[in-house]
Amino acid sequence: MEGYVVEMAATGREALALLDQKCFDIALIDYQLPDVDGLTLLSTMRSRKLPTMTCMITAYANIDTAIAATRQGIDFFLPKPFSPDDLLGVMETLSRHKRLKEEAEKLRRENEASLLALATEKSQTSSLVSSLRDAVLVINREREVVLANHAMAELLGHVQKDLLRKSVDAVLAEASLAGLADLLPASGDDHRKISELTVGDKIFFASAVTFRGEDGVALGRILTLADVTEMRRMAMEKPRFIRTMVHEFRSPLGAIRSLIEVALDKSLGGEIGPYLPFLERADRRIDKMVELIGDLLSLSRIDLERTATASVENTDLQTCVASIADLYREKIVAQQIAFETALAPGLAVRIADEDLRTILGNLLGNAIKYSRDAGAVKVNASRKDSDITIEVVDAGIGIKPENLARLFEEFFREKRPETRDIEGNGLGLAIVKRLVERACGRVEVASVLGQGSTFRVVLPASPV
Amino acid sequence: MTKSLKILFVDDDRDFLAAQTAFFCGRGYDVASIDRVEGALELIAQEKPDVIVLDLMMEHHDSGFLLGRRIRRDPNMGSVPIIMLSGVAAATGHKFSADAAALKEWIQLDAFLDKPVTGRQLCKTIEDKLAARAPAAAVG
Repeated sequence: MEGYVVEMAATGREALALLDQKCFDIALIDYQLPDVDGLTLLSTMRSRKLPTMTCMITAYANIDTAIAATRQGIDFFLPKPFSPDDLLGVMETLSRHKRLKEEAEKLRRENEASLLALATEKSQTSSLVSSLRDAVLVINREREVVLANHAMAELLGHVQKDLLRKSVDAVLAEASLAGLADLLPASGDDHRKISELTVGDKIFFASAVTFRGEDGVALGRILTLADVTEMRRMAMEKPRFIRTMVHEFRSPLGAIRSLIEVALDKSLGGEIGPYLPFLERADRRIDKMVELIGDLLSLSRIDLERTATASVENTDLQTCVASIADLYREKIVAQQIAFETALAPGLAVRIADEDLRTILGNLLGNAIKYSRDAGAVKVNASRKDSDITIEVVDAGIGIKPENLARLFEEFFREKRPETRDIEGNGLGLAIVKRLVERACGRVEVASVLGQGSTFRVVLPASPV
Repeated sequence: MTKSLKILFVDDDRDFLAAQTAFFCGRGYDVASIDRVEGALELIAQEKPDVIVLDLMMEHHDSGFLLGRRIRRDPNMGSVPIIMLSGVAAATGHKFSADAAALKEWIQLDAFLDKPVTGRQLCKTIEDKLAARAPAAAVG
């Protein structure tokens, strides 16, 4: 046949064998075959889901055969006898049907693919939205909630799915956030709107935008709330810190300047001798300022390294305590302090040696500083599971209960008649806290005013 | 012989007090000082200073203000010039300056100086304030 590649099979089996090997566009099947009848062959082909178009040729054309063949999914029915033109006409029709069928199939696949893509995108968007820390709420034109992530549901005091299809105005009013409705006007103005609001002890930055379909028609609005409490706190904290720091520098500078001025103004006559005590005082104040600068640098260094993966060392506690105690030996003797240690043997702490020395140095230094003469200072350490607890206990002047919470703040010092002769810049415990927390530990304090204080540091033990 | 003018310092910085005492004594003033708020009123009543120099921040952030207020309310020493010193004012900007102005009005401070202040600045301020008060003192 013109323009067609033709292969022939004499029996049903041969036909199936050929169909196994090759893909045919059209199969012309005689109703009467030597082995099986045409309807059985047709049924087998259908069960194999072959894309081949089929035409049944038969001399026994009757209505029953036609119905049976149609039930098997035959595409065309050609009764014998037929002319070559009849056959060519059938072939053309079938070829056309095949092309249409293929196009339809292609369209169906494309459609399915885009539906799949749509579904994937929707689930991606949904997981993206739910993973956001910001609270997100999407409403449609009817002002119904169509999407709310976990953060938003929590803020509104609802379970996520309970919010769907609820009126946004009702939901906001219920959560005492009716003010937010101003960001979501019913119509018109669709500029991005922003505002700030306080909910309980949290501050939120609220923003609303209109979203549109491809045709530019507004479909609804998206409301997001970002928790900026911590940011605000940090912003407030910085000037406070700087203000305190300025004061900490100005006071000694004022004293030093006044001490030097005594000499410059020759307040005590022409001899140098009387001025020496003043200059010595100035010199000591300069030492203290140098110390302050060193501590501020330590704090800043700890903050900078806070996120860095610090090299984890294993530090032997006994050695560390002994060497720190040696540094204070002179003071311990001078103040007649009974100093003792009770350390479980073989304790190794998962922290850099230098950091543990700084922590213990500050705590032991404070214990001695705030002890009365002939007081007692004790260092205890023990291990429980993977935690090592180190306690520095003194029997000194103690801390007022209302000041315990602020004790680890930078520059905080308790101002009491008993503390006025004790020197310090208020940074030691702030440094301790940061070093301990950087090593994944914690520090706490207990105190009885007038009886003494206990500083307890819990640090991770080195793996055995 | 005229009696020396007496300055009373209230400041918790003992180095500052020692230096001011030497400086103002060297310039012919009588100087009394105390390093805490507690007992300051009694000392003022006893010493009857011609001028009081008060540090703003002592035990508490407002110790100086409260003491200033109490001095002003006391009928026996209410009119003595008070000069307030502070280590926190200037560098922190307008807000504190505005607060300071309001507090200055509230206590009726005569002057507000930022630390670190020089003895010469302080001396100039003291002389100015004493001169301004002189006619009133003469009437009293």
